[in-house]
Amino acid sequence: MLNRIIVYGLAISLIMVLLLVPLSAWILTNVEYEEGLAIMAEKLNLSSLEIYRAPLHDYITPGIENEYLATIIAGIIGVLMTAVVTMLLSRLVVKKESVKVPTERSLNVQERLLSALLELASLGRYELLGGLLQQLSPQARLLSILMLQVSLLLSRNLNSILILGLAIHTIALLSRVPILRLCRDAIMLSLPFTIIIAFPSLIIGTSGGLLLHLDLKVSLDEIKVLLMFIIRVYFTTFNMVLLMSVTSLSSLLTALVYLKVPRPLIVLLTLAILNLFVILRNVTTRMLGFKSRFKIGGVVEFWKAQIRLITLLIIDGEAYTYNLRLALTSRGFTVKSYLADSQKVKTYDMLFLVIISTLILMILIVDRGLQ
Amino acid sequence: MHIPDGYLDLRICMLFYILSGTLILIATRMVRLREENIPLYVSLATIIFVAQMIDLPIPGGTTAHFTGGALAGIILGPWGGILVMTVVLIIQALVFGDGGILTLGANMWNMGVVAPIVGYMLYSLMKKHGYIANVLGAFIAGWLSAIVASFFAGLQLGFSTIFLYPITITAPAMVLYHLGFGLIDGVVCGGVIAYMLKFKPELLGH
Repeated sequence: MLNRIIVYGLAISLIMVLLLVPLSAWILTNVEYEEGLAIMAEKLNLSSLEIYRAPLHDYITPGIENEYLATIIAGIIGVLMTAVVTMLLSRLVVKKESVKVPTERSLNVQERLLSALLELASLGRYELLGGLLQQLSPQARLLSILMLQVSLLLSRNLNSILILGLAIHTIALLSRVPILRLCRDAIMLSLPFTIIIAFPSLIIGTSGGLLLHLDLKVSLDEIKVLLMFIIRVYFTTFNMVLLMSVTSLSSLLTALVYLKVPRPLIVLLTLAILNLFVILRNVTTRMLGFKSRFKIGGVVEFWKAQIRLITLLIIDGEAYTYNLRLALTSRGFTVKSYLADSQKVKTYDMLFLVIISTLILMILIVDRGLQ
Repeated sequence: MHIPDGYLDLRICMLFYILSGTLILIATRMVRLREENIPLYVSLATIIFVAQMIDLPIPGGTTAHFTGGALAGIILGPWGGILVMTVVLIIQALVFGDGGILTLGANMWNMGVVAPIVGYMLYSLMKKHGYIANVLGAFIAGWLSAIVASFFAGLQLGFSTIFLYPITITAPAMVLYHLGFGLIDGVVCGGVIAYMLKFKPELLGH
């Protein structure tokens, strides 16, 4: 089987080279046809630019008088070259695959990628297997996953977690009302935060910067302190702006869920928004020289997984939704494995887990109460 | 459909080098290529290479040839198709001067990336509905993938500042030409798939 296919393939190719290629060349020289693109170029008076002269230009072997023979030889050379190159390159690709596969045996590539992605996107390692998050309705789960992730990105202190909790609570409360009111309320909710906290800090930051620029007599240590202060202030501002967008965007997402927009679309939207946050967050932390307290996969991996997801979604939507359903219902890590997995478990993480669980419990109660 | 050097400006060339390069890299990661499938890849690559050498005269004074992207996409899956077409197109450009060096990225995008993906998608839509639908699906996949590829070529030519016609002319012109030319791809795809379904269905598993 193995060699037969190659033999057949090469035989077919060579027969075509020997019979059909000369035939078409003969027809074309006798009837004077031209290619469509060439005609367009001719109309424009555009000649092709020759920056590179190929060794067998135009499928003609140099040094052979007979035109047909020259083409046939060029064709045979081409067939052999294509075969050799494809074989060598495909061996490289196979090798890579065989190194990657052995860890997970029964899952195929698609499923592995999707589960990895979902683990990444839904923070599988922060979820308890029988935990509250797993028991939520799909809508509430999607929302809470989103909020969990966003709060992970945002949470630099307890205040922002509390504010976020309030936001989650409000959104959960409001999510049964018409979209317009939902948006209005989200804006009403997030606007005060921006005005009260972000705006003054922006002013303080700018005036601090101005002070530094104008008064050059400040000592080095003072500059350092001031700089750190400004950086801190800007960072808070940045977080607040993020928070505002988070609240409005997440309420939009909730509205989409309740408007029965197809699930994959919502997930994609969520991912897109998260992407934005991850990138913004990473860019700023890197720019400002801070180290992120909570690491979420890393930007590169996140992007890689998403490019895969999007291409998969475009190419094979059905398998995607199937896998998504599978992953949403069965994915999860135990706290034990999480503890064993990471060596540097901080009290922060555990505290966070508790807080988030409480928040989710709140959502759950509100959800039940409304029903 | 191989665009020679000098038709596209550097901007477009670079853009499509990046786009095609990214997708080819993804393809190398995503392709499910097993040792025993290599012969199929090799055979398909050589056949597509030769098939592209055969210029068919079209009444009205032009020629067209089979592009093969859709066929590769249907038989090998989109990622395998991309890889096979990449090899063929690179050899054509470097050894035979078919298609430019600077425009190689754009050519790879049209024939090597778009065509296999579109072909595979369209074919997989019809896959579940029996033999006739399969063959029909392959025909449509081949035909439309050539049209979509030519549309991209039209876009590239239209956006290019060297090519003086605007996009509103180039894109429709390319698509109109390929409404006819694409039938070659369609017929070949349909025929090959009809044959393979009858006699070698195990090769279509990807």
